[in-house]
Amino acid sequence: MTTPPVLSINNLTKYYGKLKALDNLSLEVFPGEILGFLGPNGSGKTTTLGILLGILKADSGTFSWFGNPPSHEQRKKIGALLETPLFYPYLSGYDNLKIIATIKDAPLSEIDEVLHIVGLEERRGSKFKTYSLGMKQRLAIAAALLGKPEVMILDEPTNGLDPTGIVEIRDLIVKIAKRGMTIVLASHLLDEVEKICTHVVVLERGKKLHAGSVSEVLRSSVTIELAAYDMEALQQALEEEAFVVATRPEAGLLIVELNRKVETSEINRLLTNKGIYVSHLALRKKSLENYFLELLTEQHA
Amino acid sequence: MLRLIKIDFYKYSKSRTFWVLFITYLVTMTASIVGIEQFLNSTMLSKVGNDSAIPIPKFSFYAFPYVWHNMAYLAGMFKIFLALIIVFFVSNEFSYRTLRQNVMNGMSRNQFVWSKVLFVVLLSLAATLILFFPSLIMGLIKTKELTSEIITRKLFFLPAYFLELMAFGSFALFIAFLLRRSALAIGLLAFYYFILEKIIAYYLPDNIAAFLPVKAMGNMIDVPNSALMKLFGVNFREYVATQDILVSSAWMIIFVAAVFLLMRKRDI
Repeated sequence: MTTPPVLSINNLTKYYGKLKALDNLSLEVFPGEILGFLGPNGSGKTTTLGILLGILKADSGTFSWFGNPPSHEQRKKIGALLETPLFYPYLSGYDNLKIIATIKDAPLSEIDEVLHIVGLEERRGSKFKTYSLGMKQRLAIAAALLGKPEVMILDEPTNGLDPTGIVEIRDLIVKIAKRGMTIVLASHLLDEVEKICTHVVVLERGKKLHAGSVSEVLRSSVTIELAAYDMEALQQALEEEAFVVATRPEAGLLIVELNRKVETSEINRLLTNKGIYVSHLALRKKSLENYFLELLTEQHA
Repeated sequence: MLRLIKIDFYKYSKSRTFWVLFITYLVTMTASIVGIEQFLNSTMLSKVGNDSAIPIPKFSFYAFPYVWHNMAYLAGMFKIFLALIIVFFVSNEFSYRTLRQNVMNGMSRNQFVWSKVLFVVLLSLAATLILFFPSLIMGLIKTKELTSEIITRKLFFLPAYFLELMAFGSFALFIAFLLRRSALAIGLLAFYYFILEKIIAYYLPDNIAAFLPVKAMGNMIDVPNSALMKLFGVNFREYVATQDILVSSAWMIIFVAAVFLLMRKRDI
């Protein structure tokens, strides 16, 4: 890549007492990327984002935004939403945003703009404590949009929301992403990341397991499912082939991992030549969830 | 700096709790200043005065220039209330987690601490004005011979009172940043103020106990002399001792510096 990264992280390590929450994490985010930050609960996602936002202090390692060492001035150009929405309960949505706009040096006229984007203009005068969880989360996104940020950091933005709320927030993120903003999205909801993100980083116990583009991840191997009268003969016949990585039976089907894309018709022809007639043959679309589970099982194997 | 004041103004100006506490302070303070003479004369002096063999001259608390000393001493007894306001609102920034929100949106940690120091300054300033105006008015009403010299002669008790509030407010600020939970912080502040320091002071020689924070801050404005006390030959200081000013200022600087240090390394 020729464009400099928006964010680069070098060997970030963080302990909570004796627990190593982050272990030498390094990574780069380039302009326009929507990076999904994946990992089970407690894998270090929020810790990383907290450090990037100046809230937590790393024990070692560095990071830089826009090629410069971190400073509070830079944070004014980063829109951030961290886990639970953090607002003054006795103030209205509008008054809460007034505080944030003043901190960010953003004109107060932007407040109504962002309230409109998240669809809260009708409740702008109501106290924050009267908001539903979905509204609180939308206010947090509005707050993040103040100051026309170049990057957004969203930590579990759909956490604790009902299905309608999840869809609302997800649509909102897609809407924001279309404006060409760079986004870092932490989530443990895989289909969420799959639907929104261009790139993924997988964390586990503070370590980076994988980083790459979503399409790369989903293309990296191919899975097909087959069935035949004689399942054992089918399995044997396939394991002889060079392009087969692994086979495993699953619910009356044989699941076969291939190391390259092979046309299903080609497989059918091969098996017919060996005297095996398949009753079922289909290409399985690989989801991020399968990939993620594989990655974690590999790690523990 | 103006921006920091503006941010805190937005935070508190629409808080009902803040105004309830502030107006309670304002009303209590004004009522105490206006009513203290009546109260003391009726509860203490009248009984003694009527049957006493020696005539006790009725005197006014409000006569210039003594009004400044008398009222500053009286107001000093209410400073714990202001400290509680500080502890309550600062620790709320931790419990609402709005400190996090403030910092991640582009406030530096130091700016956040400064905004709270400014809060202490402004609150102390407001309390000093709440002392000034009722005392001035009562003084103007009750002093027989008014000259500008007599009005301003002991006015130095006002800046001393301001310093007392600033130092005590810094102490409250430190406890709030240290404990981060309002119930805990309010508990510790009250415990230290009412009990702990008194126990420590009991075991220390007087000249060393004078260096304890609450003691030093309280010593700045000594008990006012009354005619009755003069009668018994007791004589308190009618000036502000340099040592108390220095010790109180030192504590103020130590507490504020400690807050900056606390915020330097810690996760928030």
